[in-house]
Amino acid sequence: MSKLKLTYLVKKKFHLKKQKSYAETLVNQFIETQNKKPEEKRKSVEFYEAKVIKHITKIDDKIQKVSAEIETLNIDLIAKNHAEIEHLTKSNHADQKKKIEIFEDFQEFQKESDSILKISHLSMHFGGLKAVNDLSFDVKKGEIFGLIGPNGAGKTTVFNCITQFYKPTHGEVYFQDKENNIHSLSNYKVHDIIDFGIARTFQNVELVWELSVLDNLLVGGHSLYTSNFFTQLFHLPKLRREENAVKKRALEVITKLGLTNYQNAYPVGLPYGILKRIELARTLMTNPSLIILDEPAAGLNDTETNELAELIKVIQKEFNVTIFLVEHDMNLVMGICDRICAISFGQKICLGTPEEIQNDKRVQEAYLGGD
Amino acid sequence: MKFKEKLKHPLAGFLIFGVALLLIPVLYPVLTVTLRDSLARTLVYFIVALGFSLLIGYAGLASLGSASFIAVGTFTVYSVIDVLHLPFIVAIILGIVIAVILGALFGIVSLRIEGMYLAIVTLGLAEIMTEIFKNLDKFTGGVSGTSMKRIVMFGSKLSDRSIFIIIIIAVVIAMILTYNLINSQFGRALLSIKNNQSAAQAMGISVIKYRMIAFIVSTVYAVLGGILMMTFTKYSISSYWGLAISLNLLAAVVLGGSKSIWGVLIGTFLIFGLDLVVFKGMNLFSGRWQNLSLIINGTLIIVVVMFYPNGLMGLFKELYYKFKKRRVKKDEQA
Repeated sequence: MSKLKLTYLVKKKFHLKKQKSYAETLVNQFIETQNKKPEEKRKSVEFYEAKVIKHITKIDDKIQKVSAEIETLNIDLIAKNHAEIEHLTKSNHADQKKKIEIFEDFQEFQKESDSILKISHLSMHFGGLKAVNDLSFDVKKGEIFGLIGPNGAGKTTVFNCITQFYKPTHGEVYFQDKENNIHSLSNYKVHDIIDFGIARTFQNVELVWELSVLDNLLVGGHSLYTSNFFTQLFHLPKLRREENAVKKRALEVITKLGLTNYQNAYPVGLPYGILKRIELARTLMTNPSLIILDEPAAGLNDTETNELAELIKVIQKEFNVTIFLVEHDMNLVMGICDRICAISFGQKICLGTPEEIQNDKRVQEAYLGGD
Repeated sequence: MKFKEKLKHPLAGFLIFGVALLLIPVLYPVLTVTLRDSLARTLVYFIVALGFSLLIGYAGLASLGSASFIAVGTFTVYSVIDVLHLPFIVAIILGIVIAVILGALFGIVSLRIEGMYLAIVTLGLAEIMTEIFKNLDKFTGGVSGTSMKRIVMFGSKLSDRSIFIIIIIAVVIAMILTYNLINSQFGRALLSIKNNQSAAQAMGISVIKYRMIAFIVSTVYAVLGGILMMTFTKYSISSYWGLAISLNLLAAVVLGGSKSIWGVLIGTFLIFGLDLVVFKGMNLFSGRWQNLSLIINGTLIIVVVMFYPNGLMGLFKELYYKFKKRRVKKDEQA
């Protein structure tokens, strides 16, 4: 029960935050429009600001209330877990060992805060097939982390477990958001994940072909909107203001990724490299802290791959995001990744810097086969 | 210049279309009864088709239940006014409430099933509804159908002409609301769900929510269309609202272009209007050629589905761009 309440509260907090950011953009838009006017005609910014600031402080109060509730709930949950774990250690069950370890991982994660994502004893079984089996690693903040492995090693399954397309059979995925709160992602639905600041791309380019590039980015920014169905039905002014704010963000991303020429084009028939670029741009719309790339270089030629590598580096620096990618193209992985995790048959075989991975016997065995 | 730009705005187009439609009530004395009736029917079908285009063109969900939703509308307004003796506005509100419930019910089905199979399931549900209508004698008139008295509004009975004006207003409002929905994040979300469910979910779009809303919106359109239909034609029988009408609606949307409001208009006028207005309403052909529209529609559907997946509107757009390109080339040469 308390878990359900927790998820509800967290979602509510996200919604309140979106409302707050909308109010803030309103202030900015107002100031901008006033600055454009000649001085005599300007309305007093103070008056407007005072009004909106009241609104914002109201939202802030609500946010604080909700976060306080979340905290108490979290403490309750942890205490409950503590009790459960103690009980388990007393009874000394062999199969419950993992549970204890997962909990220890969580405590560890709470103490050291330089990781953004912690995967703890993750297992995903499809019937008898163990696609991912007891996999643990963590992704540090601000790094480019690569996940490699031979075909069928379970890389995409790991991604799908993080973004909750699959609910893991065992294990947990912990994520630390921008405010250093730790969430267990498996409590949430697929479409809630983006609110935490996790955006992903897919193996094949999954753009909306009927929409222009700009509109595609607006779809990417879908979770930024707060206007409800009736606002959209009657096109109330709120929708326009919100749309303007999201569009502005989209144009920013477009110029930063050098897509200005394609802004109003339809994605059908554009070169594959550009499509990949658009997809990357789309993930940046929600200002995420972690971007998950599923084989970004698949289907690209060498020059395009090099461009992509540069682009990923630029994105990581300019937008201050952590990047977690799965890739088959070893040049790309070895070139840009800070750390790499190699898996085979759903199990971790090695984790380290590119050099360490290249020199590891087990990795060579997994890729080239043993003697 | 500014006025010209304003005219180019789609909403202005809808309003102009509405004003043009007002010619029909103005010319009322000249038109024959069948012609008035067929024009009104076609316009109501257009409203229903607009809701349906949202469902099939944007959400990618094929439903064959639209005819029974129209039936729900007709019987709602009959039972509210003639059986329960309540004012007309209650019929509209009750109609919307019923539509929301029915839409949610059909929407739940769509969460598990897609494509062809969804069409089959909705067909089954629609047949169940037809059976229910047949047995609810009190509210639907049972097997023999029911006719309705004139509606009293503001103390006086509504004439056919004023109902026609109400229908025209409803058409314009439906066009504007559909345009609004298509051009906001709702329309984009539906398109992205249709394109790829998982990608849509990864972008924060809740598939359940949006499919449900799409179904509800299209059901509300259909039920309100049914209410208008009943107020105009004043007769409804459950067996009429069967598969044929649903399929015709589907054909209208596909033929015209499911993603364009004007396309849907063209489609409805080809499928329903050609038959009702031109062949039956104007009495141009009599005897054995009376059902010529079926042949024309059939061939049109085959041709459009085979060669122009975006419907006639897609074809027109293509031609327009070709024409434009040619003109630009000529300008360059000169």
